[in-house]
Amino acid sequence: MLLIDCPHCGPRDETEFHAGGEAHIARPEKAAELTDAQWADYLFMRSNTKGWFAERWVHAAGCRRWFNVERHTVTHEIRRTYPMAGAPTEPEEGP
Amino acid sequence: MDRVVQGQGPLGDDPPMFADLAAHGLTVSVVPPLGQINLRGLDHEIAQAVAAACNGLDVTGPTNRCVAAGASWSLCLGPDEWLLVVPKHDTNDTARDLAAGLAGKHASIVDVSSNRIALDVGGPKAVSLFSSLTSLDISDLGPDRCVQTMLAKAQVIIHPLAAPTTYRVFLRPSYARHLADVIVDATRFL
Ligand SMILES: [Zn+2]
Repeated sequence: MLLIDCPHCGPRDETEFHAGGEAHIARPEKAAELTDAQWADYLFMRSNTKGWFAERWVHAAGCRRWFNVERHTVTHEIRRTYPMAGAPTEPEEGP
Repeated sequence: MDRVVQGQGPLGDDPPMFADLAAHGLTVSVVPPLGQINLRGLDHEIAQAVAAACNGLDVTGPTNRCVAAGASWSLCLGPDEWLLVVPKHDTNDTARDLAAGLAGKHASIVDVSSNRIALDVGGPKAVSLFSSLTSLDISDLGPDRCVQTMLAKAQVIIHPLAAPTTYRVFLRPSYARHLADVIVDATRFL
């Protein structure tokens, strides 16, 4: 089980949380001007990252707040949790 | 005008199932109905008005802070959300005073008295009981902290009344019988 560090409540068992998918996907400002393909891309298309991944979680059984988590999709290591308004860690230069 | 429906909670007032717990170092009692008000807003905008309406209750401070003023409690559930617990007969007046004090401010005041019942869990084995139901160390909880978590899959809010021996557990009425059964069952391992 993951141990997730809620920014408000501290470290808690994964069973208290729900995952909300990839983080930092901004809603298009002028949605009405998008093509169907562009709208579908916003709604449905997500990156399938192998490595560090920014995703949203909600502390459903605790403070019921959404926040962001940086989790490694291979090792499940969590290196950072931060508020919804926070910026993701810049990706490191690949080899 | 204010119609208050008095009724028994899901466990009754004095459930016989809790009577034998003392032999296991545990006391569990059903708290008589409490007034519960859900309050939302930004603390720097509303703190003054809340203090004026609730005998000086202080809603500033971090999430999961828990503070009492007289017979009232403030449990901070999130950065902009509180559960105010007041004597049942004060609920309507408190809600009205809050509404008047917060008029024109961006805030929400909702009477949620029926949303949860409360159990007081005490005795020398109280901490052991929680240890058998959650991975959190409840004995770590400072006197001014509450915790929102799950006990046996039931979402609860716990705050110390007289740490480390007595804790108040708020839970949804539909889970009351379930958690009561789990508590009684857990005494086998205490
Ligand atoms: Zn939380």
